Amino acid sequence: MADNQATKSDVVIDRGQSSISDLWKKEDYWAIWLGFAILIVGAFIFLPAKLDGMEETFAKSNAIMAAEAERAPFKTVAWYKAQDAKAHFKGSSLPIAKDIKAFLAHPGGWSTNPLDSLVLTKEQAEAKSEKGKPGFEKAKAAEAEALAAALEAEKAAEAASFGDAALNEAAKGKIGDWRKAKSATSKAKGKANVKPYNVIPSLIGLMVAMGVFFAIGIAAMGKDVKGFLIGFGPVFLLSAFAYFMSGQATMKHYGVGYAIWGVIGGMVIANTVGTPKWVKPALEVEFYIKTGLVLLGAEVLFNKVVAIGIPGIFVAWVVTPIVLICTFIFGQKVLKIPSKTLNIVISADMSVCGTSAAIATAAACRAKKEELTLSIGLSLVFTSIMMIVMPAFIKAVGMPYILGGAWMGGTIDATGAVAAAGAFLSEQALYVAATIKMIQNVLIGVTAFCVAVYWCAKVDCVEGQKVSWMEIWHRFPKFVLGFLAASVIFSFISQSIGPDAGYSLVDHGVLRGFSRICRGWFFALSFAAIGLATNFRELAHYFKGGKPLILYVCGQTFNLCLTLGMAYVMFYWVFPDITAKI
Amino acid sequence: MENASLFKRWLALAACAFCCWAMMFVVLPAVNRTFPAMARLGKVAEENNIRVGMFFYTDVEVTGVADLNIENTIRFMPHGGETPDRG
Repeated sequence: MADNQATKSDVVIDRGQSSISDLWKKEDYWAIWLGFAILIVGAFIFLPAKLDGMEETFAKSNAIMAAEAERAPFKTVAWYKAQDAKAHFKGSSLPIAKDIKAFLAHPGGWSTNPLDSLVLTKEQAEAKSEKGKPGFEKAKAAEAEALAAALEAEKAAEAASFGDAALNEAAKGKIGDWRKAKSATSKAKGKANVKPYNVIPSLIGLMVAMGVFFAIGIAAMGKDVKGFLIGFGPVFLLSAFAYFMSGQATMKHYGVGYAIWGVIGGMVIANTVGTPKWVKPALEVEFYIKTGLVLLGAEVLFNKVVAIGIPGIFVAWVVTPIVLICTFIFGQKVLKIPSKTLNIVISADMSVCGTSAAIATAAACRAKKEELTLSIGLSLVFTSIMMIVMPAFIKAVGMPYILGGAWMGGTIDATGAVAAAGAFLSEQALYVAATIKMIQNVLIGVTAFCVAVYWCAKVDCVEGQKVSWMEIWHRFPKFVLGFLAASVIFSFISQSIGPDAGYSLVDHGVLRGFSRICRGWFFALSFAAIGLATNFRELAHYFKGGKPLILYVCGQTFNLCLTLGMAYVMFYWVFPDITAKI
Repeated sequence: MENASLFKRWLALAACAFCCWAMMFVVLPAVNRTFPAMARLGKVAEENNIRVGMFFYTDVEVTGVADLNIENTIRFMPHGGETPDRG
């Protein structure tokens, strides 16, 4: 993001320059080195991990699932039990993973007592566990009963050689009830097994570790290391505060996450008592964001694109670019939004997948931090509305839940909101919605790359100027290469070790068990820094005329119509067999 | 003058903190009571351990479950016993 862009044109630099020394002097490259340092450490910890019995269980479970798929026209009890056996293996359950998680822990959830987010004593944990035990016992009994009913119904369907449609549907229904009961037992188990925690010492250690981590890059870039380290403390504390505020029960319900709280908290300080001068050397917004984006790249696994087959690809990867490009053109030609960067950030935020797309796009086109803030604010407001209205509408009109799930997955911005809205309808809707959103998340890499190329070749130049490929290279935001490289490398690793080991060691190992948590902290730091450096009046200026709001509403309306149409065609006309089996 | 200005700035900070507190404990809970759909959605999110504000799929545990379920459904799609036994 740039603070000093010219206001009359989008020219940032007339002619770029590159040299070998950029590799150790420029911020983009340091974001890549630091990001990859974390990814390499994570890969060394999780990828060689030997989870006892993992390979044998995968082979046995896959054989059972294949046999059951041959035997019955629906997913049987044995099919699900084999899947559960595979899902048991997660890299995040390794002892070292638990230590890492404890060290990287942010303030947790709370309702009325803020201290609950930081400390839970042994006595408090035991009291909570005791309170949860009766519920757990009841849930276990209900699960056993549901399982017995499911097996009986399945037996009845099998006795008719699975040729009686009514018996098959009854069996599917009973198996579905068992899955719900099993899920309820799992949640009740968590409430009966509460562990004590104290995140205060680890937060202090983490603050020091992160300060030193980023100071390495600051030193190499020739900036004020001492000033950075002194200022880093308050920035870290504000990001921890952002996590703390986002963990409050009502805030969790409404989806007011750490990003918004970081910006709000920072802006309140900056525009009241003022950001102290000694904090300003640590307001390295772009450095934190770019490093976080390199880590995010590793989470963009291209093999996820085919998770739900061709219907998912069409809903997520055909509709999204159409909506993105059309909304951008609408913003330029019809609304005549003065800032192209604001236009593309809002368009990407609304059409791709919300905040993460906005961050990647803003960094790729060097948007101003106020533009990113405005975009995320718009996204939050509409996400809160859509996650309530859409499920209600879907129920009211009697829309099939799988179609509704695909529709919500392709349109609601935040993955958490998508999951909540899907869960509100049914488990199937949740699975489809969450999977569609996951496939859209993968589009971030392509979006960031294309926006970066377009901006270098067409936008960041004088009209009529012909830009050579070398010039594009000079101007290209190099961290995007790190983002893409991480994505390609981890996609390759995940694909080559197979889907089961990929789930256990990459998805639930390196990524969810390590790099994702670091990435969350880096984004929290960047949003806290954005807030501390933002002036209310500057932010209000971007909202003048209401054009950003009109852009978002028009684009989202188009998105809703096109996604619904495509989801209906794909899931009910072209691939009804996939829909029937989900 | 400088102190008065500083006082006003701290007062503004306190006012903002109060507004946040009011939103968290007064306004939004009142919205929940007025619109039961909102409260129901919050309950669903809590039961499924979903943090609504999380923006990427790896931040939401349930997407891992969804991914696993759908991926296995596509890999091992049930197709047996669809022809009735006419024997």
